[in-house]
Amino acid sequence: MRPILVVPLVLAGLAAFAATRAPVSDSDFFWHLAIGRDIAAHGVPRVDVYSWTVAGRAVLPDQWLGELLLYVAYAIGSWSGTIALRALTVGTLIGVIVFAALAERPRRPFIAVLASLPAIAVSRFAWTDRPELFGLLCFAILIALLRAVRRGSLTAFTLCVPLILVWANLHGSFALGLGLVLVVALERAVVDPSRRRRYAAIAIASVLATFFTPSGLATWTSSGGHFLTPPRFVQEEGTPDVTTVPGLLFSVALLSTLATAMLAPRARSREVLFEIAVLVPVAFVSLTATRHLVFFPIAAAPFLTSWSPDAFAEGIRILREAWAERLPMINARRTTNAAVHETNAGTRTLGRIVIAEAAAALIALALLIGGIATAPREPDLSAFPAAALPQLPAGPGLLNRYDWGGFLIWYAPATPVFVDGRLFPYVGEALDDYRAVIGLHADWRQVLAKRGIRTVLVAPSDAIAVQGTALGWPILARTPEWVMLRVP
Amino acid sequence: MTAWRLAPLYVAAASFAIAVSLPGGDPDTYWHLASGKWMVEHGQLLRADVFSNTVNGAPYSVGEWLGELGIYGAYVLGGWAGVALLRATLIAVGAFFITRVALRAAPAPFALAITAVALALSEITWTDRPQLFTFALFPLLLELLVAARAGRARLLVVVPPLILLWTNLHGGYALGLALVAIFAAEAVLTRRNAMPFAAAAFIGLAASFVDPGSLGLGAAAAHATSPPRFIVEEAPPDVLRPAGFVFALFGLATLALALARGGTLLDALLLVPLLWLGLSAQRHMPYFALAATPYIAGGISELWWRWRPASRFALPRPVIVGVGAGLVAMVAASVATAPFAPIETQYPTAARAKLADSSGNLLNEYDWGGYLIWRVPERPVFIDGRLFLFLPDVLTEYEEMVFMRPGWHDQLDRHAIAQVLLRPDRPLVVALRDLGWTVVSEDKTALLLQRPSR
Repeated sequence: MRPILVVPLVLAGLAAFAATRAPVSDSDFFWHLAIGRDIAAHGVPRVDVYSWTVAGRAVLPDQWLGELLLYVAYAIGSWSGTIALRALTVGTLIGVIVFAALAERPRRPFIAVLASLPAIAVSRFAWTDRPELFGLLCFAILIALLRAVRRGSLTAFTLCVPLILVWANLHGSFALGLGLVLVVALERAVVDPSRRRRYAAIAIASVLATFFTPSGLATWTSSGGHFLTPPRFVQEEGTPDVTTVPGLLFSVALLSTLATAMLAPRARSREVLFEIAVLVPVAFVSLTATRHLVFFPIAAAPFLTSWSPDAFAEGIRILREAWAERLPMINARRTTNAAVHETNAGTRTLGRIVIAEAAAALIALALLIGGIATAPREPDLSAFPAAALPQLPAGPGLLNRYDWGGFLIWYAPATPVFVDGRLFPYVGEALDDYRAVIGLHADWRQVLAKRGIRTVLVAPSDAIAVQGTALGWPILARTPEWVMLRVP
Repeated sequence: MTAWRLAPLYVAAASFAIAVSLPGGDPDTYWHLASGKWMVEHGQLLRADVFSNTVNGAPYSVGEWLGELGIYGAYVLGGWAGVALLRATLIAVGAFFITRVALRAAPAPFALAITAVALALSEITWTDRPQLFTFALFPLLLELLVAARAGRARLLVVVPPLILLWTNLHGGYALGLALVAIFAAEAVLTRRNAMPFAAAAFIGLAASFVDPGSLGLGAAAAHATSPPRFIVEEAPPDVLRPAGFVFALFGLATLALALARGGTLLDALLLVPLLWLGLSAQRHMPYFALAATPYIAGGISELWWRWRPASRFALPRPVIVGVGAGLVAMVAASVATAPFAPIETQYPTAARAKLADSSGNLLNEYDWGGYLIWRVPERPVFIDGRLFLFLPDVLTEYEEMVFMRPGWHDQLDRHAIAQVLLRPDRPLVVALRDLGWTVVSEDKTALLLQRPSR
């Protein structure tokens, strides 16, 4: 039986609507947008043109397609276009997550939604206007495809190749996808030896697909760098914290999976290897950084849908065995519910299902359009030093706060930045110098002189702002959120 | 197979030998020692701060009074060697019992291999603090509960006095109570020895209140759910670092084995909350690993026998004797060559004499507070590892000054700071030098600055 699409469509519409409520405000979005603009105008950039500290240095265009998509959406509909793209992506993401869960037990939509809730909730923290969101969508699609592979679909496995090809050009998270394809290919080869060659061919094709990017083999360096040595000082690259909301949602998914796996009956020997192949590596990747937390709940949603009713039944069985004479009602209730469920399923007709699905699609579309129509028209720049823009000096010499680099790249193209959220071009001397000055390290004066820093645009609480003010540096502009000082 | 019954003893001996040879020097050791010393000298419990210039006289928890007395007693008896021997003994006790628990679930080779990895992970908590008592008591209680569940229910009589002792030794007793509650819940749900386990849990809970100043269960829960993240051991596990990676291996192995072979209700009740606890802070990682050891060892051995059903793991007697003799020699050599004195290179040793000779309020590095309390008792500290005593105001003010937030100068004046003892790379050090503060002492580790006379 195929899953009925009503629930995924309605949830997709609701999620799309929810995604339109927030204005554009992500600091990294602006530099992605700038790169997208340059790609549209001049092709894929190979060197840095936005900073004065690493200007001309080679940069990795590993997210070029995602950046181009962001810019195209902006070019078509300005900031509303950006929000529309976000809403469409989020809606599709949530729809795919719920669909993949529902496909495991098409007659149990309530369980599918319940199992998907941690994934839906934690994905909320990734609803940003960045190529990362496209990567997340690719991951959800991959999970849905791999679950179909487990059910025996070779077509689904073949579709993983073009998915990896697109993903490798969208965002660095493709490495996780490729890893899963390889592991599942191995698992399939063990479970289904008759198709071993086809699985091997798909695995090889998936690896080759990742080389079809403007960076070629170098695409791997971005993923590898992020995975093996995540820059912990960036909040989203920090170690996952289960006492925060995203961490708690992740732990709900992880612990539910563990409890379910322990309690569910063990008569699934052929399925077990697949679940281990998918869930264990994704759990590890999720534990590496806060931004990766979302992967595990997405991967676990279909598993929980599939196994948790059995685990629950096992729990009831244990209780029944122990407390049979005191709780005689449990057995009767379960039988009745099952009977009603089967009866309802049997009376559904194809026509009614199609009508319901069409209605759900219309509702989802209406929510998407309504959301876009009523979305904020302008970006929220309250976190950025927008009022400082008219006074920014042109040319090199500005030391800006890391978080504001992307904003300045887009809004002040005449003033190259010291550092911005692209991070990796700066790792090494430029980032060390940035830290030395903003954190007032012992060598801050030497760095100031060596770099020729003429202006600092930082938060008033930064040590350099406090010291600069104490030393009597001229204050060019100031608000409670930022201060611009001229270095004498 | 009988020879394997010596395995817990062997593991304990090996753990003792390794633990005794590790250098001490944890900053918190010093203020625990100082607290124990104060209690002995004054013949009363230390109920209020006597070591700082910021919260002097403020009341604070004395929940670990017995643990502090234990460590100080070891110091009085044997100096730093006494402290190291206490450390090694407690670790050996923990190692002994966790090996016994693992051997109940799996044949010795598997039990020993997984136990060894769990103990290696637990090394991050082998510091001379009352938490070592928790390290010893957690496996002991686990073994006791497992044995009681296996039919020796009379052992549960030991639980309440054990909890009483633990409560007075270290705040980790909450973990013990949770362990008893989990076994009691399982016993009630499955109606197997429900009454004895429930009684042990209730009496144990009551016993935990017999403490002159327990942290309290509420405080323990609050600590677990909102740990002070700026302290390394309270930070979440980093699975890309060695200890975090090993912890992740335990978590993932547990997940993989759960998928492959399932588990019991007790496995789920025990391992699910402990995994969350391990994920919440690095210092809690070992407890999940220790509790998961029998499950993983049992699971791996089961898989092994599916693959190699004819495997036998008998050891010849000469090997047993040889290993035993080797361990005895290893313990003797470790005790004879151990560097009992703590390594203090990370502390401001060069500034000690100058500090002792001067006066006035001192602003010190957080990590050095304990060291100063013990080594320079003449100078009350601004802040030290007794964190909760300084929350929230003093810690905030400390950060404002050290990291040069707006208003730092006012805070410096408000606290009448006469001297600053910080790492050379602190922004405040740079600023104070600019303002003409005098360098009293300087090396690679620390800089002692004196406020200029007006």
